[in-house]
Amino acid sequence: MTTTISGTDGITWPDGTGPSDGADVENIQGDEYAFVSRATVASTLSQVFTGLTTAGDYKFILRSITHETDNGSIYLRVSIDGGSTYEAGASDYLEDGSSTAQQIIFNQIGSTAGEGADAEIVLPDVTNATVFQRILAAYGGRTNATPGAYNANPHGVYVAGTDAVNAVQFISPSGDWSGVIEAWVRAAQ
Amino acid sequence: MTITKGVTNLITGKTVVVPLDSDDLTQHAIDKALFDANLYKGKREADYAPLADQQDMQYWDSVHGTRIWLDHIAAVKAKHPKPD
Repeated sequence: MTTTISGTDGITWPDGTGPSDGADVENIQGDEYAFVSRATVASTLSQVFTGLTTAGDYKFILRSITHETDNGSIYLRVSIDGGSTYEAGASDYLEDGSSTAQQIIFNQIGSTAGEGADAEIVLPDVTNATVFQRILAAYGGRTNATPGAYNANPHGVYVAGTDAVNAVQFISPSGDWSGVIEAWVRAAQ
Repeated sequence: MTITKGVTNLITGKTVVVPLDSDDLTQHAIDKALFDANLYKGKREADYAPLADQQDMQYWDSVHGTRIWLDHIAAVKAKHPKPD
């Protein structure tokens, strides 16, 4: 059976208010990810997401990411102070056994629309301050040189401490970039 | 030109674009220096032939006494030199 919701049908959120006040996200139940926000990145050096307060898993979907120059990179860093600073110590992260100052999301992405790269990144159980924060990523799309072959690791761990993560940063080390990032959340069961 | 960042608050759903603050600029300078120093590696990786093709080059170089593989590697290294 197909149910069609039209623009005039009322949708009642759990707390009876609008879809973007945060309380709705906290009230989400079930196994599905719920859409939280979409940010259009237009020629900026970094895009950050603050307010990761829901106990559960956050997923960030990066779509059609291009850099202003060929062979650009995009890193991910986490914040444990609400986004005031982002962890960037030389050994704050562990990528495939190597200590790094960031989780590399993309390397060698291109500069034209046809070279747009995509990724899906999950930060599980972000508010759990008793475990090292894991960063799980899957990649797709096309690099500047070779389709689907990113010089990046599909998983990493923030190892500087067992802290709750409450903000994340996607940042280019050199030059601006563009694309779309969606944030989704799934509350802990 | 002002370097900017987008900030999305997942509680309010609002996004604003603001200039980098001093801490951001300090970290950016560190990131850029490291990235620029290692950029040649990515460019070389992009230009190297697939490993299977390189193994084929090495095989025929052994058979014929040629240096196709060596010349290929040398050409890529020369095209993207390591910074001093």
